[in-house]
Amino acid sequence: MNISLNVFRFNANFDYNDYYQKLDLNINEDSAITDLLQILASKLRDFDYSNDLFFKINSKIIAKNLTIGEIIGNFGNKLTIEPLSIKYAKKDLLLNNDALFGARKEILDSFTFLSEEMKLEYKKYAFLNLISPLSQDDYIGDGFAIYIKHILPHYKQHESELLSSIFGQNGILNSIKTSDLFFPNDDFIDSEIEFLTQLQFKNPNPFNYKIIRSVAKKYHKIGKAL
Amino acid sequence: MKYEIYYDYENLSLLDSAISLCKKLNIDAIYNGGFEYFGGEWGALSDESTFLTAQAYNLSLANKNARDLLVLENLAYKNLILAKKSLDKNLPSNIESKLSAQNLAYNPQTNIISLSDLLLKNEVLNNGIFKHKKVDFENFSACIFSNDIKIKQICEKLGLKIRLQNALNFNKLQILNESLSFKYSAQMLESALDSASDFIITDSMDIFELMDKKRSKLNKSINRDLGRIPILFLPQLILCALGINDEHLLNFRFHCFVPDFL
Repeated sequence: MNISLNVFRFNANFDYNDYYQKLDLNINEDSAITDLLQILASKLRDFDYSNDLFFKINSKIIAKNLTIGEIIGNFGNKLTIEPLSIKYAKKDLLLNNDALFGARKEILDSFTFLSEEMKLEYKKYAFLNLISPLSQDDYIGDGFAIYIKHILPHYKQHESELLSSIFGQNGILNSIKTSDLFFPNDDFIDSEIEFLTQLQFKNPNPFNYKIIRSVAKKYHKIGKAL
Repeated sequence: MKYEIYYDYENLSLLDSAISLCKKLNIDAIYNGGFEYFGGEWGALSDESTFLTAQAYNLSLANKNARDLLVLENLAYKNLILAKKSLDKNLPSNIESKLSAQNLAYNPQTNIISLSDLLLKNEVLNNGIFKHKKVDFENFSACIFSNDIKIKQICEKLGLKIRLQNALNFNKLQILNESLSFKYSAQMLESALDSASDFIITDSMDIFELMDKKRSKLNKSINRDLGRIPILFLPQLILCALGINDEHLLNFRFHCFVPDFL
């Protein structure tokens, strides 16, 4: 199969601006995306990527190792390949994990009971903050919320402190559903956030009451007939 | 098939154009109203019991009239489907008794169908839309602001070029932080404008409210004039394709931005 690629290129160490490199390829439709990335690394000088995927093809997030046939079947044979976030691109498809970690370091440091090792664990989740269309200033981030959920069982005595970091202003109630941003659709983030949102509404605090009152005011409660 | 249109919100352009379309396509759809609408994106999370009661009532009303529930709006459809899954598995006894006090009964056999599903049915598409189609959209392009991929299929069958489809909806942020909702909705509208689309198609009341009624606020939030790109509901688009230009059927009088190709 012939495919025409536009590949995002950037090296934070040398480049002032990012650019897109064109490449035409003939590739077997049964080949996997990781095969394609390997071919890119062999054809494009000094090209970097991660086998963990989570990059974009034609603006959709690819998180599964699909076949080229599946990709072309959905997007056609003109493909633009980009990192999950251009703002946080470090080198080609690789992200600047230190910058992502740094954006939440202040909050992590405020949890004095967390070991340094546990704080560093957040690096595994930080890239998930880039999936929501909301910036990190406007939303605590899906990655941070899922990280808190995963460490919660180990810090039962500090549960309220940990949860308050994702239940307040710019917390998980700002989350936007992400399943449609993936190809194929994937609701793994949405289901984690939904679990936490249910937890938040069970947790009585003035912020929640404000939301519940607003919902009741905006959408009339049933009562006309029942 | 017989349908009852689900509707309990104030957006007459969507409702009236859908009723006009059903009449034009000889679809047996009635509109009695009296449904309950609760919660938008928050209902199921903030008050699950009230949410389920409202949706059980809606489904029981359709069951009483022995009709499938035809849903025009994206969020209403999602909420009904979500509630039906739960109610089919386990109908709480307090809901059952509230319904029976109204001489209603919940029936898991009641079907929920979206407008896009109905329009893609063979008899509607081929014997209705294509048979009466008078206008070609080949010279037009549009954006779709909905997660319903069937809307894209319908548009492409009409020959309309779709520049982009965006499934995001920032309306839920209005309750928490209005300015955030405006900022991100404005960026979304900006993407439609920059794609040189002639209009936007949606099945979401929230998108319509934000991008049509509140456009001046969106303009201010990003300091850009987002122009006059119109927002159309699917039934309005299909009516246009059928060559209808009667304002009483199209109902653009409720829009701040009316398509100038009309």
